[in-house]
Amino acid sequence: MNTEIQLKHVSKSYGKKQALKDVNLTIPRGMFGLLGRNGAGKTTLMKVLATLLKANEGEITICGVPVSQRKKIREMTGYLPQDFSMYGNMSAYEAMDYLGVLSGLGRAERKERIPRLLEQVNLQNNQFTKVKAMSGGMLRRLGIAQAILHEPKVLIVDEPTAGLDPEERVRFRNLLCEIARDRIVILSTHIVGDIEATCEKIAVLDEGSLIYQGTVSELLKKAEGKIYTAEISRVELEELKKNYVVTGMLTSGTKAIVRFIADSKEASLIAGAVLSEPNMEDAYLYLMKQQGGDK
Amino acid sequence: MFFTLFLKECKELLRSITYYMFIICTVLFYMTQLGSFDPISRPVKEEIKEEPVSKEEQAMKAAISRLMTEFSANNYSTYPFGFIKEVRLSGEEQEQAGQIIEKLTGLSPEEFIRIATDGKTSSDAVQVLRNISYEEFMGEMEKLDSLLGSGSYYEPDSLLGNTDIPDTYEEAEAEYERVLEKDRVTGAYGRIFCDYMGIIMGILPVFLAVTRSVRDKRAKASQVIFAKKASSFTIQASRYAANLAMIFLPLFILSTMLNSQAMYLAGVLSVKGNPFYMYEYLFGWLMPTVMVVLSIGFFVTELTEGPLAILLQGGFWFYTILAAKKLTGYVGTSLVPRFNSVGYYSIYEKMKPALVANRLSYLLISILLFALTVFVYEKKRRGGLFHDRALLSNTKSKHKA
Ligand SMILES: Nc1ncnc2c1ncn2[C@@H]1O[C@H](COP(=O)(O)OP(=O)(O)O)[C@@H](O)[C@H]1O
Ligand SMILES: [Mg+2]
Repeated sequence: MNTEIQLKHVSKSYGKKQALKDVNLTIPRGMFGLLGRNGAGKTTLMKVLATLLKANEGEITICGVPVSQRKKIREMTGYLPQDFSMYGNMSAYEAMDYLGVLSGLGRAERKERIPRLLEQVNLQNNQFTKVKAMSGGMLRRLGIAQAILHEPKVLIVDEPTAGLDPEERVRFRNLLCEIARDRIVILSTHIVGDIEATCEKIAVLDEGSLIYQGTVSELLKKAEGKIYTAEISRVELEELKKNYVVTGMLTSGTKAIVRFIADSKEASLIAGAVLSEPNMEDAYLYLMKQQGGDK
Repeated sequence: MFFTLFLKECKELLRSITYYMFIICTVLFYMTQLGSFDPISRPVKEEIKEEPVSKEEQAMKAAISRLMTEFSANNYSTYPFGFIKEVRLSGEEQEQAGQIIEKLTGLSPEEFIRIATDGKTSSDAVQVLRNISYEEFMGEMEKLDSLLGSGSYYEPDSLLGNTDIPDTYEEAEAEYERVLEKDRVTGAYGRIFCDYMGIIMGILPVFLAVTRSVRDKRAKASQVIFAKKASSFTIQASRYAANLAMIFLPLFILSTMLNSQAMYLAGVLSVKGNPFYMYEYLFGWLMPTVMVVLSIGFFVTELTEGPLAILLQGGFWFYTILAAKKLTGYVGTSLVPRFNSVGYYSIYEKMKPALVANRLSYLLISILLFALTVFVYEKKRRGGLFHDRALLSNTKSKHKA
């Protein structure tokens, strides 16, 4: 039984603007993170997977089913759009019920599943809360609940943590991990922290091209030996920023502790530079820097 | 799935302000136009002109009298498509019109104008020559009408149509008997109901259709609905059917009110009323109007994602109402066939084939437009339509990553 999503040579353009360029990608079961800055093509890729857009070129199969079989794909995928909402005058329960009918669920199934799912996303006390009265976090959780209502094999979630406060963000990530135990969950984000904490496998998109695909630890390994920290004065800091990519800093008084990307030769020029373990953010920025250098 | 969705859509309508506005408008219109029941009664002899003049004679008389004003001023009012248009004939054409007058009345154009403009003579001053038959007269009128670019007062059909209402006691009596026998009283009220309610059903449903159509986008719910399994047909048809049903809910209640009055009147007039005639008219006559307006609303809104449909339908409706050449017994290609009288079964009988053709055509158009709506919706769902539109405007600012 095939439980993967496969993309082969997928391209998509809007008029002249190429949003996806020859993307080759395999997405296995579990949490999968799609990372990329704004405009990288994440939403486009997810819409293509959710059958809301047709790729200009390439082949895509979800668990063996080509995406051209829309009805079948729609049955096995749940989609949470980037700016999800529902009719404002509906309550959480009504919105779920309405969307459940659109997924072809019978009355009994809806009655059984909706309260259970609302509980899972911690909205059990908000069954009667109107959609228009919901906070961003509540709406996002409702969005997840509706997306898994028909028990899809694949869940596609587009930037679900944008605009959430840190606590909500953590809770939301945990919820997704829970859901990912027995299905594919694809999560897109431009926030590195979201992925570091939850996804084992990731892909990085940049201007429509896939620039990395693999595990988080492999990405970290790439940046090994390239991340240095140094304690420098504020005056030196300005100079350093001009020449290196700074991935983090901590200032206190006239001193600053900076993390930056450099190779060993460059680092030797900076007094007190110490090699340090890369974190995910360092690795991502290192990747982006390399990408920029290639051009 | 369809039926559950249908019920949900109906329930949503019950919570929508637009729907209550619709009900208020509909009920108010009914109350003002049909609120006071207008009973049919046996014609009274004294009230009707005794002098029996045939319809044909009346039509000819009316034409001559109108010509006296219009020909002398060389200023003719025509109504192509129902909009008034003043026509001025060229010298040569006016001469031809003069020849027609001479042929029919024996008067030279100069003399005709002199009589028409001297202010003293009555309209009876000019008579049609005895040897001119009705058919000949109408033949000349047809020529005159085409000189004027058609749609004029002299168009034979409308000339005769204008004198459709019976003028003699015998005719009125016969009409009355027909209403008792053929309409069983109740049918006559079905027609007046369709006439009045047709006027507002030519416009009001478009508001409901547009409201429903823009709702997904307004609520940012379209993407998530797109991604569901339900077919585009099921989604659109449930919305359409729910609107249609909920529009008919007040219409059904109001027509039943009128119908019960008509049934009662039938009893008073010692006729066994037929309680179903009202609903035959309701569904056969009024439903195609509602359906077309809904279809236009759904289709145009799905296509343009804005309220343009209201403007379009507003224009179409306005034109339709103006285009009616007469208020009782007008069909043509009108969206709203007119029958602004209680009774006159004979007129209805005459217009019936045209009415059936008209209603069937609109029914067909509405189904076609609905099918196109489904097509457009499905296209959008696949990202095939409108997806590149951001390119036309500023991509960066419009498109939040
Ligand atoms: N409907 C559209 N029409 C034209 N260009 C678009 C459209 N949608 C997205 N784009 C462009 O395609 C690129 C990728 O967009 P998107 O997939 O939304 O990126 P992301 O979700 O990663 O921020 C961007 O440059 C964006 O401006
Ligand atoms: Mg996006």
